[in-house]
Amino acid sequence: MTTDMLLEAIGMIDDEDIRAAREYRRPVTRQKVKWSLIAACLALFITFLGTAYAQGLISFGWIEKLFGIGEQTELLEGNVVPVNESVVSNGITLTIHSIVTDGSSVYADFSIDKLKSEEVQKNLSFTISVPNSFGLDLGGYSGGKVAIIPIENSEESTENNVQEYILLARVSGLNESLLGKTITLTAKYHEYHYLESYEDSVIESGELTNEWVFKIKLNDIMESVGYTMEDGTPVTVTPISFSLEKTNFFNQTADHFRVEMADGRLIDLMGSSSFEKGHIDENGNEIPNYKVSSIMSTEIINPNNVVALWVDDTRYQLIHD
Amino acid sequence: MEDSSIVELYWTRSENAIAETASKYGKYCYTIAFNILFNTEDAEESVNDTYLGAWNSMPPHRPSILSIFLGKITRRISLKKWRDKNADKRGGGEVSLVLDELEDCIPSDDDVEQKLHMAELEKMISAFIKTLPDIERWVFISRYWYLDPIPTICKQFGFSQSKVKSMLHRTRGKLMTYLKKEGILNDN
Repeated sequence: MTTDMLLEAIGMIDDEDIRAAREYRRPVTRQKVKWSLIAACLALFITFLGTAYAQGLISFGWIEKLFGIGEQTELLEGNVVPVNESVVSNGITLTIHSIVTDGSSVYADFSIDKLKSEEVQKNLSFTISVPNSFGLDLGGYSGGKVAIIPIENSEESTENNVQEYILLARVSGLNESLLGKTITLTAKYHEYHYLESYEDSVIESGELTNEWVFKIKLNDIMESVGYTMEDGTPVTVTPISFSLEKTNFFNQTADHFRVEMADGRLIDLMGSSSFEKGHIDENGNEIPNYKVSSIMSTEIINPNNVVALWVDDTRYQLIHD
Repeated sequence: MEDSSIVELYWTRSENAIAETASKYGKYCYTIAFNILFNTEDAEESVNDTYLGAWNSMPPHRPSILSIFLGKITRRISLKKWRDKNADKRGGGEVSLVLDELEDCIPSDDDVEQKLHMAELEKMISAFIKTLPDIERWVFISRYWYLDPIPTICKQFGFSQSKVKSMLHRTRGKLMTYLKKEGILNDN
């Protein structure tokens, strides 16, 4: 058997599978919403405990408090970026539209120049580091990667020829003692690019590093967040968190998370997953800890209407407190 | 026009069959062909050959999913064209890359347990595809059936390049394991 044979054999797989592959589209939609909505929708954190096989149950709790983020106005030296203004670094323009936090995660809605050449391929990675200010261990994504979700066909991207993203970083230690104080977030943008010509096989490569510093002032504590739908209907949403216990996710990686709403809709959640070393039980067995973090959605999710969580093809029924 | 109506045009040997096919699926077939051949003229030629292939196939075929029926014809024709053009060297486009990637599934010719009939292999691959989770299956099909470039797959699925590459790598490993289990490859 040769690779040619394999490639040919792949050509004859089931028609429905071929069609489904083409019809799948990641359901990201751009909502013209206030910054408060992003904080309202996106605070979902799931921890899986891998044990012997048992019924998966979800219990929902509430994050009762949110931290409001005021418009940052301080301009410092270097690439400090106020909200809704742009900064140019190495010829690349970055604009932050909003930054919010719910006390455990920070979300930024930003846009960045689209690269003009279709032949240039690149890797974008952002890091958010939160320095240890005020004697607190803010942890989170210090030096690590954050989740970057590109938003397709947003008004911003269409009108201004930029690519819009929602950026999510998990941090810890944000609490009421920081009210009225300013913390600093540093975003680094490291781009690798290479240019390949198929005719000449010429390859050029290079690196580009940009750094922006955000000053964020914590203003208010909010118990719930209000927003307005596109038709003007006011809606209130409270962020949710939930945990999943006793699952059969031992040594598995899940790729696809969705919430099932009461009206039957399935809303995709996006984020990253990790499989962490767990703890040792009383019998000396290691219980792996499967953690899914940075789950988010750009669609509105009202937790009152969530009935189940889907992890890949498995459905977990919600049990209300 | 509905697919069933277009198929009916072929069955009644109507002159409009190919025009309607081209109107609805011309771009779709062209994309498949271009992914393979990476050349406008060759891709257009493949698409035209596809229409001829469709004309000669219907009747007796009455495909339920016309797009995939045509896509399979285009893919087969384009791959044959690619092989004819690149008999002695690796050409550009995605085919070379994909063939290199698929070598992960067939470590060396020495590992082939037995001579294999294509029909058997097609059946096994079809069965293997069904064992994959949805997203993994669709990413695999996007890469190895549609020969989509990695950035295109990233955009469709909203994944980073590294995620797509590692997912494909994992799936190729699963395919090799599957082929070993089916006795196609030596279990070394």
